[in-house]
Amino acid sequence: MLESWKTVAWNGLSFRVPPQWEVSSLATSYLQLDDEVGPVLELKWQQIKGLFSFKTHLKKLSRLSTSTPGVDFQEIPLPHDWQQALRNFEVQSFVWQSTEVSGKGAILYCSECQKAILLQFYQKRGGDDSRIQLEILHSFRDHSEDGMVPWALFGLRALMPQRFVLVRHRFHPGHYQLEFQHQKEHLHLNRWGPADLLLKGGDLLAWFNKKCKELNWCHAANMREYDYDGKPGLQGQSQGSIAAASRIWARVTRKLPYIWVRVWHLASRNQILGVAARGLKPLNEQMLEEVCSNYEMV
Amino acid sequence: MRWFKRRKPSKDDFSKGPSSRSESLAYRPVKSLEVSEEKLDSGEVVLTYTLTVRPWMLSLATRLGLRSEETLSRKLQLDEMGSLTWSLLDGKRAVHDLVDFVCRRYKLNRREAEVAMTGFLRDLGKRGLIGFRGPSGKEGEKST
Repeated sequence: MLESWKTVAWNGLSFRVPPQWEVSSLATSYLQLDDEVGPVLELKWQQIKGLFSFKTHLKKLSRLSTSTPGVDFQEIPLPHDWQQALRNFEVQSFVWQSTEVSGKGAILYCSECQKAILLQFYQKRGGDDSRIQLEILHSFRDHSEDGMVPWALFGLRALMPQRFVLVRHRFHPGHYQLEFQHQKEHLHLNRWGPADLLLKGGDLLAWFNKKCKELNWCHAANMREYDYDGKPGLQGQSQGSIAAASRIWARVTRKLPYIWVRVWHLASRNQILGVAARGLKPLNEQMLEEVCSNYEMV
Repeated sequence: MRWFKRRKPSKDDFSKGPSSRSESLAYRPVKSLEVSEEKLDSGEVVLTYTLTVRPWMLSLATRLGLRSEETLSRKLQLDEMGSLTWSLLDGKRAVHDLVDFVCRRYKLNRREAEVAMTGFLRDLGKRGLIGFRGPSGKEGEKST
């Protein structure tokens, strides 16, 4: 059963879920997953500065539930089977019940990375998902040990250095984009598809020249054909800026941004992947190579 | 104060519609008989359909001499994926069958294909080009 499960990894959190569960709502620190019928799991998290108080947050939740008519909220001792799965966290668990649906969840606090997580499973009347819930909790991670943060959503998989923070994301049919930032350094992961439709009647370079308007600073890179690990691709780099404001700023500060772009056609998945980076200091090409090699679609 | 209050749909109306995502995906899109289609050499499909105009607009257009076939009809050219989807709308295939087909054909992630397909069908429904037949042979067509 567990072999068919898939990994969901988003902004520091990662866990495995049944294959029919899909992310239905997404924000920088929020995830909701649905099955065929409706919501099944909700997660919200936040970096905590200073002391974390379970009491305050449970009180907030309790107040929220009492203001909703027909919802009964209750703090409960942590279920015995959850204790083992969540042994790395400080935990307070709760249940709530309304006429049609009930929920079981917990507030987790990781003292190692100072992250507080609100996690709740929705339960339909008559359904018992306790085994699934337990498996998810066993696979649950809120930080990585090796300094590389996993990202896995809608078939996209990547590993990013921990210092890069997600600043923007979009998952539109046909185009996924994740933008990360560390100080003045920006890193974009792109995915376009289906490639056979996009590349129809032209090659990758012709398509990129049309497409690079979306990535307004990318056309500063002098793109050349490039064989990336046996896959047809393009690569370019330059030191210069296109945007007028940046150009003026660059003249004033005498700093021209460094740009590095690689795009490759993943024929096996019928998609085009792209990694683009921009920074005021010379870019770490070894790190970019590592990002590219860990960036894939499954 | 509002003179004309919008009547809230009764609970019975809601129960007729899909109550979950899986139920919505089981609906079967049906082409409107009012739509004429033309296939281009490129394989893309051009749909021609009549605009639904309010009666007073129609009478105004007639008085101003603007009423003609051209002004009351619109053309919509579908891209390759849209044309393929259009060709699959036979009233027998459910939305999830179309999603599965597109997933396999273009190697797309299922969620992505589902969002693209439902968005496309919603757009066609808004223009009155398709209706939806209930799952498992339920009578009564439902338009979006």
